[in-house]
Amino acid sequence: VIEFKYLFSPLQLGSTIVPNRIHFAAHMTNFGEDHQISERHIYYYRERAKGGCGLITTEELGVHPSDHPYAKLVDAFDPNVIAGFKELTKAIHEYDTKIFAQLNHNGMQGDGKISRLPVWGPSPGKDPIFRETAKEMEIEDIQECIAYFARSAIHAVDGGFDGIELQVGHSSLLRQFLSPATNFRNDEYGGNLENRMRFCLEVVKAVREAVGSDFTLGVRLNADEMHPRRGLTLADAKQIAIRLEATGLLDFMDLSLGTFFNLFLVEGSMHTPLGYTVPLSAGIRSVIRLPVFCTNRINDPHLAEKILADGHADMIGMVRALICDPELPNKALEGRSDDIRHCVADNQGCIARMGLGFRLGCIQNPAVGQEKTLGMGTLRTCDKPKRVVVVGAGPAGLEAARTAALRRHQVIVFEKNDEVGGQNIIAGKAAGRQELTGVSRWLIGQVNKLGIDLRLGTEATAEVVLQQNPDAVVVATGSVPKKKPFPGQYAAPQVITTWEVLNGGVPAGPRVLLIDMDGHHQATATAELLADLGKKVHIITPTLFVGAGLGPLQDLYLTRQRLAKKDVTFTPDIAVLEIQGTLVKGLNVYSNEMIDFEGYDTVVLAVGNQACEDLYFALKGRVKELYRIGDCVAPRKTDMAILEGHRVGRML
Amino acid sequence: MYDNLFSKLKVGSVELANRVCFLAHRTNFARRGRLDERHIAYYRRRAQGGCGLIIVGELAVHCGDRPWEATIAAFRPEVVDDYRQLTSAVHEFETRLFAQLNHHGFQSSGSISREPVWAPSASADIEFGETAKVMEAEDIATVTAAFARAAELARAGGFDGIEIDMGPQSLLRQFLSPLSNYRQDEYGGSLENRMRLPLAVVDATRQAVGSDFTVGIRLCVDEKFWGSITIEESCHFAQRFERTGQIDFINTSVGTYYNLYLILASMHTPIGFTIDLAEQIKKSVHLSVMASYQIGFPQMAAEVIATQKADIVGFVRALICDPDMVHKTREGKPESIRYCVKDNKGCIGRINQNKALGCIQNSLVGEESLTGEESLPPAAHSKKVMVVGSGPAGLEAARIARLRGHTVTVFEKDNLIGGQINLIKKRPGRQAMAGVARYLQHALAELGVPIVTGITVTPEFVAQQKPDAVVVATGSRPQPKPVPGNYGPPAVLDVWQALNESFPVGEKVLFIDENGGHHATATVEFLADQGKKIHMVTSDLFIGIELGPLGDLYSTRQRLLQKGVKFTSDIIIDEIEENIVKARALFTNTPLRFQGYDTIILDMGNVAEDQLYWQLKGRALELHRIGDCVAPRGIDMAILEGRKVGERL
Repeated sequence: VIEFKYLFSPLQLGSTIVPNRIHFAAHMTNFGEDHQISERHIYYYRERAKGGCGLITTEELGVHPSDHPYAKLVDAFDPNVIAGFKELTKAIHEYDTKIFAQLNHNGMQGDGKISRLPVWGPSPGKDPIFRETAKEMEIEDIQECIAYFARSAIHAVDGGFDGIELQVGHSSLLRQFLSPATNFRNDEYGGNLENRMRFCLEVVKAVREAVGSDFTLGVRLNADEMHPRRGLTLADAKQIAIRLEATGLLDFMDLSLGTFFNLFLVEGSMHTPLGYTVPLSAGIRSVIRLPVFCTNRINDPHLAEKILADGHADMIGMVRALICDPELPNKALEGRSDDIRHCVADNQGCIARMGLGFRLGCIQNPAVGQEKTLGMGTLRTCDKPKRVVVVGAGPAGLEAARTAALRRHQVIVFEKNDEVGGQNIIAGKAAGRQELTGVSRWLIGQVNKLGIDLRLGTEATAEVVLQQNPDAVVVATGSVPKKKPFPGQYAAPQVITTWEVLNGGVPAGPRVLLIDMDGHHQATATAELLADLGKKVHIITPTLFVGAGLGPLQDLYLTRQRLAKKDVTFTPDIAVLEIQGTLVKGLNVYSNEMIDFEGYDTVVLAVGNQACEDLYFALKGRVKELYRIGDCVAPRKTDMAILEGHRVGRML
Repeated sequence: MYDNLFSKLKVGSVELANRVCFLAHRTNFARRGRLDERHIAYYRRRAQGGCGLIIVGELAVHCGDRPWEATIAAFRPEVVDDYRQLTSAVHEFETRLFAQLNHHGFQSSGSISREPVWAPSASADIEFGETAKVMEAEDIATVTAAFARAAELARAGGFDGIEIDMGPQSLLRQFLSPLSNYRQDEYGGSLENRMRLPLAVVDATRQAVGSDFTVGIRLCVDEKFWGSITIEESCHFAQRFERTGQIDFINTSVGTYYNLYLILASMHTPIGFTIDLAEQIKKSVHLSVMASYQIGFPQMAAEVIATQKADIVGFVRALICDPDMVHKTREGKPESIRYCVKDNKGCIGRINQNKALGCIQNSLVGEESLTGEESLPPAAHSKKVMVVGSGPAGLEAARIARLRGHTVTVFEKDNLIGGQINLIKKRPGRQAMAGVARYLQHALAELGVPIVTGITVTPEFVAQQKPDAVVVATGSRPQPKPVPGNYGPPAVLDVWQALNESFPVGEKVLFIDENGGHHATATVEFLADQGKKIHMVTSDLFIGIELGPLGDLYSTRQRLLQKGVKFTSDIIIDEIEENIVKARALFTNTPLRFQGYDTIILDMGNVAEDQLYWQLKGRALELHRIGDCVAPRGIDMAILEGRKVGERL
């Protein structure tokens, strides 16, 4: 394909020829069961192979019992894993795709509450997330760990993998040894770079000896910890890369960045720029000859192609892009780039769920983790086409309409507004949240391609719907901000909702008090928009801190930083009791002290939504098949709207 | 003295051997919606310990309800096989076994179920934060039928009775409570309307199991919140349930998620704080009534029964910590009981982080042997064992080693036994932690293990003693220099120096908290109680970041604020020069200086006291290292490692 000359050219990595340059890089899934590969894993990875990526690297596989950072980690050191490895690799090898195993020990980025053992580190520090003081590894521990890497590598070879990647990236014991931020040893494993590299080199050597000279082996190196004071820099990483290459034992160099001090760089949300790690791969590639991988926020084949064409990397890692659309490679190859469902880096469906211990998901792709039943090729044409009326063109309604139309139902969508997208459009107006509208952009594109009858600006009353003589009605009428969340005498334009701010309908005055009972972007990104407009914003919340929902999204740090720099101030621990005009009467939930918030021109409410369910109840009992999906059932988020839309589309 | 406690009681069609009940609680042992082997061994062990009744929780009656991953799918027919294994294991003993059936309503997670959560009205739970679907008539019918179906399965599985959960985390409470039920239809408003669904569930359950099977309810008798269910209203609930003639007992509970510190009561909550509520319910009805929460002692339980405040006393943590509490009481050895100290870290703290249940003192929780006996194989050769350090790690190692037949001596450099427990117990509200050392010391005295205090063990001393094995349990101490700069006592102290009063602490105190738990907050409270003005700074997002899972966050922050303590979060400490702290705002990087304080106290972590270990390493003797001197952690790991080494010697 001329358009993607580089992207679809094969690449030799050691003894492995990868058919194209798209790499489904290692990432957590929480699909493991009893520390083994599950059926869910197999269908999940197979879906990506089917979608055309050239290389898959599994999620990290643990090499030692001392390392259980989360309950679902697969134990590569356990000989019982080989059977699951074989099933997995066989499933992938039905396609041209190659599959590598990633081996890792997370060191002090681990959890003794799960392993019931001390966590291991080069020195007795504490990881900022796990907060557990590590045992400084003794020589015997180091030797045992090396032996376990080698033993796990043999399991990977026996399990049919095409290669092995050793994790020396953001979450790894080997990085902790490399880094002056975590290694303060005085022995031969600490101090100068050669000493700090010793453990890593010994692991590489032992694994190479275990797997033999003709097996593909590489590392995932941390190319820059971006630690404010003493971490590894790109310059350090270049030296390390040169030294690793000089061993002659490695076949490729995958890269990562950051640490748990700055996880927002590892799991960049839409607030981080696309392709933000390209300078790192370009830097490493300039000093070594081994093929170099570039990963993080590369969600489009054109961007990937440009990085390759510019000589900044040899292989492009995509994770969320392929979670969201496993067919991205095939769509690019077939000239159907328009059909790609782009990851918008909202992180709610994937990274946030990982952080909370849930199974991997995706706000846009409801099949993630359910590939066996919802994956490619499982959508069947309906037996008898029905006349389906969908009311509401938000993500829920559009996904329902799309799925139903793909099954050859005859679909009409009513939308009371003049544009489609529902709350997705409103949310995209908040500061830094524009990329979120990619969700509706893709759905609209598909709905239009399918020729669905879309009637904008049409308020669908029960009578309007019934006039259509529908066989089935799907109510997806969404939700609106709560009408009167607090007691008192108050009204617009003094007291308004985030929607009124975002839609620009009601201007806010210079001094704004924002009541945040949302804890997510709706509150903070609206506050940021107001601050960008020059308003002085103060946020009050009943939670312990502003942005309580943003942590798992990896948006907490940067959001609070931006808000603080834009002079937005916070008062946590405040329950609002009543509002009179613009006077907000609050209560400190700990001291029970009453506090008046006054002197504001505008009070903005981010206090949650209520379902728009009138149409549903008006139709209940009056149509053959009636469904209700998304926020009009209970106001939630995009992931549930799309999931319920998809389910109903299949059920019709 | 304990006759009442050990008297039999007929509850419905079941006769209980005594009045001690192991109440329903989370274990997180379930896998894929099924009971696990660990469940069976765990409950069997408690039955072996002699409690009269066990109520098994974690059973969810409907597929749309999944508050956490490790629920048991009580709606799936396959669970009957699991139930049978469990009930037959428990029925080897005199203990009876009830199944607690629940739907958690909006105190549940759509992120796991991938379904909307259900509730009487469209609000969001304060913990789960998910706006609920207002249940339609069909949903109500579904739930009612689900309870009945689950009850049938429980009966088929060999349970002796059913407890329908209307407690702090339940849909049925949400219907009963004006806090969560604002419906305008026949399920909301008046007391009779709010009771409609709970009554329907009782009726359907009774129809499902028949008249000869024991059925009861667990009622939240006081939510203790503004506008909530009160005890007065609960007495009416209780009478109305009794009038149905369909239930055999009422179990009492308190609180909601607005006041988790009542549900997850720690040592800061008074003991026996709900007994009067149980008593009021008992006075309102003729049914058997259970009292529970913070009745950690058999003496107190016996009094509750003797004074007819309740008919049965429920325990959870007491029996997690010491499964043999009932036997030890019956044998007249209450001083041998390992009493729960309500630290919550090993049990509730782990559960709230979705880890399997544990216990800081009983490290065998979740690892009970399926064969029943806590079997400690005697040592092949009796060894002479030196344990260095009398903190929890050392004492537990000595106890297990001695039980296995080794000759053990414990050496302690201090004059006090108990290690860091001696510091912990100085902190206000944390005195109960002394119980950990009390039990171990008592056990060693019974076993005749000598503890030699006031002796610093050196390699030379070890050589003189000629032991076969040395267990180094020398603990940890505060980091001597956690941040750069020129500073030290008396202007800058560590937490130990402040608690030991080795230097005077001034009136204006800056407390640097990099701990986030009781270590920091309870030390501050110790000083605040002396009238000092304290300013706490932390790099965390808020003070007390480790206390949430323990149920201690709310009341701790409340007490500190009411004692005039000031909090500043998001602060990174860069350097200390004498009594000036140079810092940065974490998010803006704005430089800050903290000065004008009389004393600065650093709570910035401990370092292992591992010198002796390194000195002995490589010498020709069996050497082990346990607890904080491996890596400074907590009591749970100290005791766990103590046991493991005791088993390995």
